[in-house]
Amino acid sequence: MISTSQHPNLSTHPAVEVRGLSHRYPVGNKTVAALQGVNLTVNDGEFVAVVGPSGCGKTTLLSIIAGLLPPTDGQVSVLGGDTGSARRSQELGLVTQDPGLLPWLDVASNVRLTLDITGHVDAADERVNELLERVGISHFARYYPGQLSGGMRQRVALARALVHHPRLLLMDEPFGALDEISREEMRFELLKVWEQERTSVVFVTHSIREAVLLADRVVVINGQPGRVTDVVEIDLERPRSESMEEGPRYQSLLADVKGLLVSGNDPSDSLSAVPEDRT
Amino acid sequence: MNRQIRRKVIIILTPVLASALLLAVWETWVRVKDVKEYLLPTPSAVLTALIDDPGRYAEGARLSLQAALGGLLLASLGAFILAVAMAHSRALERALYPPALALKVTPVVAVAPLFTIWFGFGLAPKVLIAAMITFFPMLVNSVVGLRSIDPRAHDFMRTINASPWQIFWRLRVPSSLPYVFAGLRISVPLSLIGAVVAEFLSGSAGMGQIILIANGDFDTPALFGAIFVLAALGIVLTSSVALVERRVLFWHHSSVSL
Repeated sequence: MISTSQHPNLSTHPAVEVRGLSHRYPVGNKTVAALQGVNLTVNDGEFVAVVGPSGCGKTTLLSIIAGLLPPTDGQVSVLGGDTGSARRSQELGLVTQDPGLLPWLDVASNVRLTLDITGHVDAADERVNELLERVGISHFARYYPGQLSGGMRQRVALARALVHHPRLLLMDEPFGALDEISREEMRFELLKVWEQERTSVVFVTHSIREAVLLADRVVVINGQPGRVTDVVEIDLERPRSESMEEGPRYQSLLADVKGLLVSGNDPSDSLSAVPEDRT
Repeated sequence: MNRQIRRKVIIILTPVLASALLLAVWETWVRVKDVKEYLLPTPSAVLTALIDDPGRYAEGARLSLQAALGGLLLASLGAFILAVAMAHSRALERALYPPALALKVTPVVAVAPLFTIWFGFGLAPKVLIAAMITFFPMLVNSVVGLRSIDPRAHDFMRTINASPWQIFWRLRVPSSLPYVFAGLRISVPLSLIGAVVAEFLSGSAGMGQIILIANGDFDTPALFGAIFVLAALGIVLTSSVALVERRVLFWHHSSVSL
């Protein structure tokens, strides 16, 4: 288990392959559908953003990919195995909006915890330092989460999720609680780290700008229950830069994705306007 | 720097001065009004009673403290172990909650004579009564604490496939500590009550017995002496818990309060 995650082999499997996924959950004595017939592929090494209005089941999708939640219907394969197998072989990293750092551990120990749990104890301190350096918080190694700003905490969460060389990084609105300035900063910080660590990424967000700026492809989810209604290739060159945001290509992609998101005011209307799955 | 020292001196000095003032008012009032000593002795008379036989009070304090701490330790450990089971299984919680509640609502004074019959007049019945009175707050706080984990931290640990054992030790137990300490703050004074009540009822040696004897002799200064000693014990125990709590829970927002 440890050796495979230590040396990510560029396998032929896609990182994530979701076919006909539905998820329903009970509320009282009724069941509510969160996702219906979702198809999604994330290729190896690819950065895929999932955008959609709140309540469209984005987070549910991520939890199913993470193996935290069993799907009601459909096939989900993660890193070539069934759901849960990637989790069991410790090849996943997770960053959520509220990252849930352990407040009684300092920054370095929070990051190290991942290595202790996944059993990567050889040269653990060096690897922790490397990651702290990479996300730009090496001066804060002995600080506690309660002493850090929201942006700093997300850097720790990113380091903690990447320190064990996972092959798939799952991010759920990671910058959603940050102010606009830290948000902007963290987007480029994430890209910088991603260029170096090169994992596949599924990045859930409701920010269209964020999705277009970060991703290779943007998957659009609409409706309730959520369905994948469009997939947009983002053919901006990498590394992405701030100047791109002024460029016409970025602006037109932004407008495309915006147009594909159905405004959630009238669900019955919006469902009829939904085109077929194009995944 | 100098200002910090001055502030610390003020923080320590203020309550000391207030207590001294209170005692002075008491002393003056009893002397001026010529209150009978068996009703209310002067603080100086109480102090004289304490100084006359310090060994007796020290021994009483030692015995009562032993019973209180023994009971508190027993209750805390037992409650935490049971809480682990209850936090993991709702069915077990439902099954165990009624007897735990029954233990709580039963007046401890009603059960104490039974413990004397079963365990005699030594340390054991006193420890058990102190344990009985502190068990419930420790249990409830531990169960709530063990359940109070941050779901985001839990998700993260599950995503990297942490074992239930790792989640227990690295997430659940530390998360429960603020609640366990809240339980201890409630339980510390209760454990002293338990010990003294047990001594009242069984007549075995300790602060409770000193109070019983002083009461029988109409020796009100000795009675007050015992009360002062118990109050001091309570203050020392509570402050010790607060001190440990501040060390252990430095990361928790509640740790700023005493």
